[in-house]
Amino acid sequence: MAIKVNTTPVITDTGILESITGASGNYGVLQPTISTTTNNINFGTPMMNCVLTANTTFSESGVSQGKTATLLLDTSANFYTPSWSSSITWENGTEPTWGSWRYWQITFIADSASDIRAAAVGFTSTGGGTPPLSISLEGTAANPERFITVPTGNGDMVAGWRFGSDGNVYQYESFNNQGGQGYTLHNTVTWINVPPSTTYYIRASNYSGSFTLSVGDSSSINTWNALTSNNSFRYRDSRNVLTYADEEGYMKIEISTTSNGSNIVATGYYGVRWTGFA
Amino acid sequence: MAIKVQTQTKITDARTFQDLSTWSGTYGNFQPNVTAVNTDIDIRNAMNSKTLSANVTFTVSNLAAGRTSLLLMDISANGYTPTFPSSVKWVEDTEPTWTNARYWMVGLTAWDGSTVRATATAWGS
Repeated sequence: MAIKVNTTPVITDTGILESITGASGNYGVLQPTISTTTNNINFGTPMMNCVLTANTTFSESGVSQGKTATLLLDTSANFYTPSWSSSITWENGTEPTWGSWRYWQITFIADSASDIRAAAVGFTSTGGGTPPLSISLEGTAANPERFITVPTGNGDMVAGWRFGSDGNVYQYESFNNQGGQGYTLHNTVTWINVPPSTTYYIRASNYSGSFTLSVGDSSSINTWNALTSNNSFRYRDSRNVLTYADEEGYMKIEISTTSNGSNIVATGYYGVRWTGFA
Repeated sequence: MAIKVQTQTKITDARTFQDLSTWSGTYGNFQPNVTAVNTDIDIRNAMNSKTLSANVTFTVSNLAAGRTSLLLMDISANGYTPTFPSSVKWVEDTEPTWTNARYWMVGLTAWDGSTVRATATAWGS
């Protein structure tokens, strides 16, 4: 049973101390719970970590005078750049040069709800801020990179892969699929590790499996398409899910520096497997 | 009498809070106990102290993401040298030159279960 003072719980059944208006005494082993954030400094979760997957602008929430927060920031191997609201003032009036170090420990203290003082220290040199160019794809002919999706019978099964103009690789699962959320980032794997400074070209071709790519749901197949825009390659199964067993489709993906494919710099194999109920 | 929630003691007879899962609210005069360190810095302890009486090789234990700990270190008038494990990474990739100052406040933050990133501030040449 929770412990209450008057009618207010101060220790919940799960051991959470809450609605405390003050504390005095000493403490020993008392450590913060870490919270993962993507773009918000929440002063209600004072120890946060974040791995950037793109250049990111941070906002703040729960700010009031005297509150502090710490952000453990990993700008990733791509050295993405964080930016901040005008409420934040940096130590000595100078925002850090984020490209100099990969990892940052940033401490915020709120002078008021709209005035936040921040200090940052960096770890692990980036060697100048620009990683060496790397273009890579996943999977081999014998062991393609694939995921498994489950149709629900509510509409067609649609699933596949996207190679984004932003350099990221995404999985696609239709909202008709179990747990499908459309496009989601495929881990933190990219096909190119820095913003492309020149045009690259991609070609997808059917490789193996019981299904081939859906022409109507894909970018041009067997064609060198510019990666200045997103290229998606997807499978569609319109049949009743009760009429078939497991199916799969695999594609070969190539990237070239030239529009005619004369200089292929990366090759990979990707696939989707979906489970039928027959 | 100890205060229990369900069957777990949350406030002991000695008025120590224990086994709390989360704490929210504000605090006033609420300060850390200081733990005297031999060679192992248990990062769960918020505040530690060590006066070196010889060169010392430290270890850091109980790492988990977000845990932080301070070490108040006196390398003594003899200028003994501390050595930290390779899991400890220093600001801007540079470990301090310990003999440049006698008193040090070393801030340790666990980024995960295996890496600690550390800051160091010195006083007294």
